[in-house]
Amino acid sequence: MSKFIIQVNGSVYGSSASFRALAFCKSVLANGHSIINVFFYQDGVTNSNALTCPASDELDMHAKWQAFAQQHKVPLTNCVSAALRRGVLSEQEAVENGKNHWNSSEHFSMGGLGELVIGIEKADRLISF
Amino acid sequence: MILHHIQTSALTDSALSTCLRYIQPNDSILLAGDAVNCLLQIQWQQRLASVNLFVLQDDIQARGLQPRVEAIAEHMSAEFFHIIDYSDFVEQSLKHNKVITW
Amino acid sequence: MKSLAIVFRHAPFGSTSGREGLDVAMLSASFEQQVSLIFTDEAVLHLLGGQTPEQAGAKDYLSALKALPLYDIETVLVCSDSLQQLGLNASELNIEAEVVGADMITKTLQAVDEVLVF
Repeated sequence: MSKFIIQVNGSVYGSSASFRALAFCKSVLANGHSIINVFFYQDGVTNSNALTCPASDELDMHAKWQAFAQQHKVPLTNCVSAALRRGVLSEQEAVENGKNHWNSSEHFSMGGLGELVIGIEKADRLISF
Repeated sequence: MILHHIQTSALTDSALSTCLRYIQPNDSILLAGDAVNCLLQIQWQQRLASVNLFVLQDDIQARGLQPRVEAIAEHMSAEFFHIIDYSDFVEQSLKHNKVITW
Repeated sequence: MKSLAIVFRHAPFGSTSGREGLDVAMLSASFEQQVSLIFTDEAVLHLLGGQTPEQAGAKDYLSALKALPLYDIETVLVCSDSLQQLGLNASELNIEAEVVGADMITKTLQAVDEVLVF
């Protein structure tokens, strides 16, 4: 059994990288391996936006990641500074920054780049999308 | 022994040509997403002929390219050309020493 | 401790790749990972002097490149083919870096534990 860390740089909509990342993650678990963390960086942080509202016949990557995390208890972590720059905030960041609203869903935690580095250190493989 | 993971079209991004500048003979390339389209171009078929190549099946099927890619694969060495699924992708990521996503 | 290579391949300012890649490089080094930086393709333009990122709507992250030795990032490789393609000379680079051929970059990519590309 091997340990993976997955980095997602592709946005929630407009790129197919996030879709492939999730398919890869599912396959990692199906093959008996584990995922230390799915780390969302660059435009990848938009995957945590709970206000994502595609039409019912469209793919909702936010909902897919959330369901995946819930079902398999895999941690999803946003890079907090990449997220703040892109208007992706959790309740705590909203309060700290004097904003009335937030959009990052509870299944995604906010963390620093240090979590990526620690994940790389612990993992057997880093795969980026 | 590196698996070079290419996700972007060779017509709009230099990821594939940059990776080829630094590739070693025992490395492999995985074409995923729009990167699979380069197989339709003779110049890329030629440049990739001597590389151990993996192509993500979902991405060629999604684009209606499977019959074409299979026909093209016949001209390339079977030993070096593999159409794979996500499970094989996971396996190859572990068989290689690391994966570089360009 | 792991050894990481951070590859920069995108031009400065047109996207935020370079800036967000540099953040990863410095953070990794401050977590005591062994970090090497590799500049290739249009990313070599990050290393020219006399740039004013603000005029292109970017934060001045280039000044952080000068601070790399403070983070113990001592290996900075620049692809000589890329410099040549853009008509640049090694003498024009604004920071301490080694201009190397593709073979040296290949060797580095093979030697490190993980590679991140920005």
